[in-house]
Amino acid sequence: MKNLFLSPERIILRSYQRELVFRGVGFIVLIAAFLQLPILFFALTAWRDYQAQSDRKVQLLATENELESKLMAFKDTRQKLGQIQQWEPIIRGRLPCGAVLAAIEQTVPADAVLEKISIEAARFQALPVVGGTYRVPEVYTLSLQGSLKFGHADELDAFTNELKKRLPIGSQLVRSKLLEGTENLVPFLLVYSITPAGNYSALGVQRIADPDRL
Amino acid sequence: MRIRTVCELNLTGQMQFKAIFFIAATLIAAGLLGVELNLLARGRAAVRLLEQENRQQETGNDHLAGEIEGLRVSKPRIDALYSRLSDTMIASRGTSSLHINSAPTAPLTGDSSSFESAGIAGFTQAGLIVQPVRVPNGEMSIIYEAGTAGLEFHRLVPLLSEQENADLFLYFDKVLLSRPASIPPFSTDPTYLDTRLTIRMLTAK
Repeated sequence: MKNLFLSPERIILRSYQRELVFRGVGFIVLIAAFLQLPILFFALTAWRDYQAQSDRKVQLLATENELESKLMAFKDTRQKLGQIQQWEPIIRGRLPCGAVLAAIEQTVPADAVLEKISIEAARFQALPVVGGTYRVPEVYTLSLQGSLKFGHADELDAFTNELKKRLPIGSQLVRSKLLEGTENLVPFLLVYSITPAGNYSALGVQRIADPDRL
Repeated sequence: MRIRTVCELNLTGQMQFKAIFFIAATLIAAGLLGVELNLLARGRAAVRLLEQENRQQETGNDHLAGEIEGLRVSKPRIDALYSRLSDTMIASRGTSSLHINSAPTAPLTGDSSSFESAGIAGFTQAGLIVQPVRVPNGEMSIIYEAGTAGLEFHRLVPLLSEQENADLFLYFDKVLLSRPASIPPFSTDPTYLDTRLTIRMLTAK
């Protein structure tokens, strides 16, 4: 039977226009097309940022090359500084024994006399230096044996504290003992443990890096 | 009956076509958006990565510039300190041929023993008897044992301080000072201490 009113093409077209499925598809296509705008915008922004960062990278690399060439002029100074830094723990770990002896001399009470002074390094740590190693002690033991005049035994505490003040920070009194003595003298024994920390200002030692005052 | 069956078949075909059409359109749109968003995210990530690299590079450049400036400013001090430290180091190491208890006043000739003697010249000149000691394997040092019974405390202290100042790598591993038993406590007579020292000095290669 021939359709007298509507052609099949017309029916199909109407079907595309009015049916929900096709309308839904059209809506999806429109949404997708609309979303192309922000996507395009963000893509352009990203591309612009990428270009800017790439240009910056080139500039920074050029600056780095320039700085590296400048640094080459200080190669010698840099090597010297590196060597000084390698020596630094060796110098820091050295207890200035002369200054320790001077501190003892200055603090010992008038009513005391010393019989034996001993400074001994212990617990060595081997540090790398050019061509090998060099041992640096981690602790020093200072022992003092002496005698106080009879009746002045209380001066030992003052001497002990005064000496401790002069010794490098972190020094500890390990032993302080009055021994059996004669009728005139009271022997004593003092033992300190000194950790060489590099700061010997209490001993009156000038920093090596400081310029000479002369 | 037959016409009805044909109509039903047509209807089912149409429904299937619509469903496939709808799903395909949705998938294509979603896929397209997904691909675009993925590319966008990758692009942003690349920008962020580049930005991070640039920040690191900038920090590195600042550090480098600071180092150059620091070296430029500190160059005179570094040179002076290096000279002071390296000048004190004993130049070579080898078997010692010390002239015990003699003053090595001869000029340095480059001979290793002269260098070593120079390292302890102050001690020998002050009258200490000096004896070399075996150095542990691998250690860049020379070690001496020194002793005397002819120095008073007030002469010994400046001697040790002077030697420590002269050689910043000089270590006294052991210092032992004792009053001779023959001298009574609180004696006003000159007291020459029994002195025993273990001296260790860093050597250059």
